[in-house]
Amino acid sequence: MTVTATRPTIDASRLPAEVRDGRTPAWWGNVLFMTIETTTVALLLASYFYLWRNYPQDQWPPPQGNTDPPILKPVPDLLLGTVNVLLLVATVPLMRLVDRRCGRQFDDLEKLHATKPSKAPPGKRPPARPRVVMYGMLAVFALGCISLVLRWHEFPALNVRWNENAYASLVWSLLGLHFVYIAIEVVEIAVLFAWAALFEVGENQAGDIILTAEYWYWTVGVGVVIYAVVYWFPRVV
Amino acid sequence: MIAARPDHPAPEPDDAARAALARTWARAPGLYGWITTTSHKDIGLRFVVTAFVFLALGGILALAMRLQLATPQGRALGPDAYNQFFTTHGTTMMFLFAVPVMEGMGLYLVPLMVGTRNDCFPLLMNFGYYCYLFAGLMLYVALVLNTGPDMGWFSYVPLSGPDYSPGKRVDVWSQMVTLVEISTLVGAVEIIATAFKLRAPGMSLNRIPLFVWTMVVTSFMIVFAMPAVMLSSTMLAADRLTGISTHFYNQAEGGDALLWQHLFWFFAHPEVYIIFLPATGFLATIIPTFTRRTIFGYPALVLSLVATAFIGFGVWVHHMFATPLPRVGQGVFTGASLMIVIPNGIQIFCWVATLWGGRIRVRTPMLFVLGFFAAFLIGGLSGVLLASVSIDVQVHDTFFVVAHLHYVLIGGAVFPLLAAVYYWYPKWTGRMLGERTGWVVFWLVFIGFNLTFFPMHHLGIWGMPRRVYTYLPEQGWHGLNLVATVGSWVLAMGLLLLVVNAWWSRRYGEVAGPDPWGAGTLEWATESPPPPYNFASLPTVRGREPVWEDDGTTPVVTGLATDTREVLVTTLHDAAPDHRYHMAGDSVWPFLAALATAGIFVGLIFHPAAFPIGSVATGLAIIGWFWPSKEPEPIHHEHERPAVPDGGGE
Repeated sequence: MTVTATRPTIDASRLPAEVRDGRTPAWWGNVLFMTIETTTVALLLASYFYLWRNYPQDQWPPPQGNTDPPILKPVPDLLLGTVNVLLLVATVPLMRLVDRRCGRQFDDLEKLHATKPSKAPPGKRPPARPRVVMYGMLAVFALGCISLVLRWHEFPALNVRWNENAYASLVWSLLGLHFVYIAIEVVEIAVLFAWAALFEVGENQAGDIILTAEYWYWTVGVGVVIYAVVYWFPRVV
Repeated sequence: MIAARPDHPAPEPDDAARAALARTWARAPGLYGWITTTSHKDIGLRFVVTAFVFLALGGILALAMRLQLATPQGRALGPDAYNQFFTTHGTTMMFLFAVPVMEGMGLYLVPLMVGTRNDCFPLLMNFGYYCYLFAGLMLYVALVLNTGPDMGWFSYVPLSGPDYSPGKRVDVWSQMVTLVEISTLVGAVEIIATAFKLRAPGMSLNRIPLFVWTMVVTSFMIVFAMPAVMLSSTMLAADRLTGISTHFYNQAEGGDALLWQHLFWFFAHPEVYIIFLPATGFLATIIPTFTRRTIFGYPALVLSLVATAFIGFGVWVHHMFATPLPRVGQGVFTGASLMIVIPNGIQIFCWVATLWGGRIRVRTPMLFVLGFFAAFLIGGLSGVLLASVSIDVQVHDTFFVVAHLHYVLIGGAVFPLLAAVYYWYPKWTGRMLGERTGWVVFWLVFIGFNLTFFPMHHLGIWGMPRRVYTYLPEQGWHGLNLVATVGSWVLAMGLLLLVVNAWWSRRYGEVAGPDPWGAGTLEWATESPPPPYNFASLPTVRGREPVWEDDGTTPVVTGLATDTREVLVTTLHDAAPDHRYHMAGDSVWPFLAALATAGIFVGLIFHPAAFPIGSVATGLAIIGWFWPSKEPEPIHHEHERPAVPDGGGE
């Protein structure tokens, strides 16, 4: 549109430069990627139930005849998987603390930018690196690493190798896919921690940590569903 | 919404301001700039041009196949080459041409149509392009090395499984499919976020240009459909890979061949709409321009799009009528397949109502639109026939299906696409394509297309199966096959003429000016080709056809930075100004990340270790990508604390 001298204007310079959550494009990107991953997990679960319908349904998991004695119902061992899912759930309140503190940090900084620096009330500048955020991220990172180690040992506890039958391929894929999700998140948390430690928890970092926290909740939620299917479904059918 | 201030007339953005904007938004010079560009115009057009290159390659394969079938017991191709050719042809057209070309159009046009400076996540867009390019190269390098896939583009197991397809041909296919879908998915995220958050103030949901709506709906379909093919092809690759050898599709170990068909068609039927819906967006944009009236039934059109998307996910089983399905299942999917005619019918009637009584100016784009009506009608009608189980089983895997799918895809998508190329070429290059050449191109394409594919209906009904490399003289199929072959060459001449014309017009075509067609959407409110920053002052809109409605008093947005890449973000529903958004600058990391990602998929053809190694490399590239650069932070002006925007759910 050509600009003419008569055109009225909308002055954007007085709009904020940083906002968070659903108002930002990044939040939408995050939600859409979560949707894509949810579809992937849902289809993998659908495949699991599709193949289950192909078996005589009291033979799930398929019996193992190549062991001595043969195992009629080789269900996965509960211990490690249960510990792991409880551990993951336990990280949620911790992450929530980090998430909320980042939200406050973000709002405080934004408020500061809304007033002229000279008029900002003295001593009100938020801390560069809130302790809750830094220690909280460190804790979630550590627990995430433990979860990865536990998951690594969950595979043998499935009591069947991935290449023995289709059931095995599916449960290995479900746990494996979720392993990758946790690994990605753990790396992301480590990078954000390093970023915050080297610089500060500014608006950029706070906004990103909030998005990472949301992805973490999603990862834990998916983990609970996968746990229920892999460990409990064969026990209840 | 911040009130426009009529008492503050806009200062004319002077040359200095424009120069500053151009400096900020232009890409770096030289090869480095070419690789690292994040301009939606560079990348969108690159998608389109690359897709046309793949169209040409897939087309050459098709010509070779037609040559082979021209006479009974032809000798142009052997059976093995024929198998590789038709598989690579189908794979190219679906994965490397049709979807990427539509996405490229979306990436180019959506930011212009919604009145902003770039797509939302510029680096991601750059990453997506290279994933696409590398996937395409993978397929054709393999074909040249005589390792082209040879099991049909939908790669049914058990034929594509480890027992019946030894070697690496299927692995090339399954890995390149996963790689190219990464590109499609990031493009979809890009387009949705741009259309939701970067619209010009005033462009509420009910004023979004129809093409943008179609891209949004298409992108949502991509989000739900593409994971299915990524998952199923990864499972196929795992079944085949030595050292992994899973049993997802292995009937002997409790797997199921039909699981492949379900997962594949759960993606591939929506894929048809992913290709077709953007084409309807072209039509809904071009028809109003050449009838000089607003589109008839805007709300009905938008709702039809959404309905098509929903129903489109409920019809995949109609590709599987020849498998042992429960009766109820057959009934449900027949019903759904017939039902999808309703929203598509509504769309067609809305277009016809727009044309009805309008003063139609038949220029080349409009000519292709009219060609679409003829071709798509035939494709649609044979589709209604195929929705019926009894007919479908009779003509299953015959040339009737080949005729149908080419009428739908060429008639439904390529004709509108060619209309779109003629329509937006002036915007891309600043010059017009030849009008008289355009008519010649149209008639060559239209006649060639019908000559090629119409006889295939008959061949199919006479029993000629698809995917056979030859036939005997006694079968009586040679006459129509020869006609089809002649037709394919006429079609190819038409497309070749278009390419020559496009090449010539880039330099010598008639200068277009900003709005050669007198169109109403925002991309015509800036120069052709648009400057790197798209609009000197971001526009606002008051209706659905902002250029037509502008009487010189529509407000413009001022106050955005000119020295950093800053755009305006607006609210989801009403597009009220919300905040300023600082976009990432160009970077080489997305290219490196795409290179590493492609490395994973190429490596996985040979060894499972490619996954952990490639993932670490990709991870490092992505960390480099997101690591903060030394670029200046956005300037924090003292600002008004905005009230929570409307529609609080945002």
